Amino acid sequence: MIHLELLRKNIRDGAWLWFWCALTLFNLGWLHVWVTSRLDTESFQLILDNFQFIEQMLPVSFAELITYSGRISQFFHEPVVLICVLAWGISRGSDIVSGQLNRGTMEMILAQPVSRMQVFWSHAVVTIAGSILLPLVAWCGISVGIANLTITERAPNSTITIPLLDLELRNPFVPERTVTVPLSDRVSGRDFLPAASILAGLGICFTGFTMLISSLGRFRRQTVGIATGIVLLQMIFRIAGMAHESLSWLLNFTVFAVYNPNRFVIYINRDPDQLTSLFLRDHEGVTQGLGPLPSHLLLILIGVGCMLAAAVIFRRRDLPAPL
Amino acid sequence: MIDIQGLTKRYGSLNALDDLTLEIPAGQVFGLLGPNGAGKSTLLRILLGFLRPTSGEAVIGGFDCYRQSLQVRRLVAYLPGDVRMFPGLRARSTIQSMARLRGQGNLEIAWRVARLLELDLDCRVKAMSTGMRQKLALVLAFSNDAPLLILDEPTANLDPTMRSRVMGLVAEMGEKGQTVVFSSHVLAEIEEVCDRVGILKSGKLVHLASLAELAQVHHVSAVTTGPFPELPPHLAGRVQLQLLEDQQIMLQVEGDLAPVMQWLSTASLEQMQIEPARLKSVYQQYHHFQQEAMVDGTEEVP
Repeated sequence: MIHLELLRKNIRDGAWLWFWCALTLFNLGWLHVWVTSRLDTESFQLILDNFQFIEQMLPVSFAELITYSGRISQFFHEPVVLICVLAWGISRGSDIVSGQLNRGTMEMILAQPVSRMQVFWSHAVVTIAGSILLPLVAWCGISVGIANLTITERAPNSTITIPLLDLELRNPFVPERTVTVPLSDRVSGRDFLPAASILAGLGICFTGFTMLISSLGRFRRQTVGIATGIVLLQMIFRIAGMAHESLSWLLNFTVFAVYNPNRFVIYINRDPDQLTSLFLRDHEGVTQGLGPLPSHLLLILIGVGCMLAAAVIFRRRDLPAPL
Repeated sequence: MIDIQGLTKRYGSLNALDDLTLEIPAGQVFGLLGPNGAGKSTLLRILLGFLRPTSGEAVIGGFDCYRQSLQVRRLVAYLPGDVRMFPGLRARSTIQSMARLRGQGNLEIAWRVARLLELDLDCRVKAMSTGMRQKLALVLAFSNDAPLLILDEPTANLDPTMRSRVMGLVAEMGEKGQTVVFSSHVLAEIEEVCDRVGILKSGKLVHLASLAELAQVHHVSAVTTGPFPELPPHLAGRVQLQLLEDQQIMLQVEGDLAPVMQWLSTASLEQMQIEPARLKSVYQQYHHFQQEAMVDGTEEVP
């Protein structure tokens, strides 16, 4: 199913794009944690208090967002992070059939005794591996940041106990002081694995979809155009669906509805059983969308389903001469 | 080697190939001729399994070209009409990479052909001219030990010296017993190396002849200055006579010329010219008709 020489060629073809995306994600992950570590929780609360109106557009409440877990997991909603993963998926996914037909190299490869399925899967394996590894690199950036950075916090107040009344009061004679503690004391890199994996799921989903468009076309620019348009439309559905109650029905038509990395991180942290539950429930027990496992499965199923459909189409279709 | 039966390829209402039947025995160098859009490339792409026939079948070495395309491509070395390569690779890496992809092929032959065609092996594909890329593709095709060589316009973009070297290579392949299918617009090249030729027009195979048979055909043209004698019955089977305007006559003679000359000596003729029939004249029969049809807007009858 996979040809070693084609595998080598596809790794070579995608190496530079993957390298720059990975470098960006690693550094951005570390930088995000650094910024989080510089801004203490109270300051962050003050900032958010001025932007109450955007709370409904966030997947988690402000109270959850201001925690270290909430703020660091917000990294997975950064536009640059999504762009890196989706750019890789669309760029390499579009190359699989229409890109190679467009360049004319498909003809050269298929003139050799290699099957269409070898051509397809040797490309798909590299593209999917890239889509999985990029979020992993981003997670590594975050984990390295957590392991190495420190935070400055207000030290617990010195107290005095009033005898007889058994009251504990802050000692007004001791000035407030701060302490520096490792960030890893407050949050663990492992907490963000569900966020990284749902990003990988999103990558697989759009990579598979782009492959499907690619298998039907003969011009790469057309494939990239259609795939990018669909991604943007899906994003708009998500933003509009969350912006106003009357438009919430749009969330049924976007895969971004199941992309909730910071919700997964916070909820699983609070209750590890939520990892496998069908629906996520907040601290009040209110359902907040699909749980992590079904969300992952949905994205991966869409991606793999599209990929299999692309393979069948490519196997049967006519391969026109390059223009 | 190649057995094509009733092959049809239709794109909507357009018949790219129309009920084509053709057999090419092993060891033959077969020339495929036809104007642009005649169906040559479609035929070659069906042979390689790139296109699915609408009906009919094409078989190479006992394998169906579409359903058993992988087995077929083990038997075939192919030079595409429009050569596109991996732009980032050097010529040497491209040759090595393709050899690994194929799992067979002879690098020694590749280096020899590269030297013959004066290909710079250290040049990157993206820095190559069209002619250089063509040379690289030729090296890839000729370095393959496959029993069938399919060449789609192999001399396009090459200078006359290189053309002649490529023709030499094709002839060498033919002598070694490899089957060659050779598509070209250059009639002289087909005449030079091919054993047999097929002319395609609008997806139909309109003419099929061996070059040896063609060498036995002569064209005689002259102007009559008096009454022209009747064609004797014993020549009727192998002489085609056309009476043209301005007292001109045109004869196509198959086989021995002596009895025809004897008959013509009884006529009063001027400006007589005798020339061997060339592929060009055969080709022009079809090409000419096509032009007339275009001018008149009438249906062409081959």
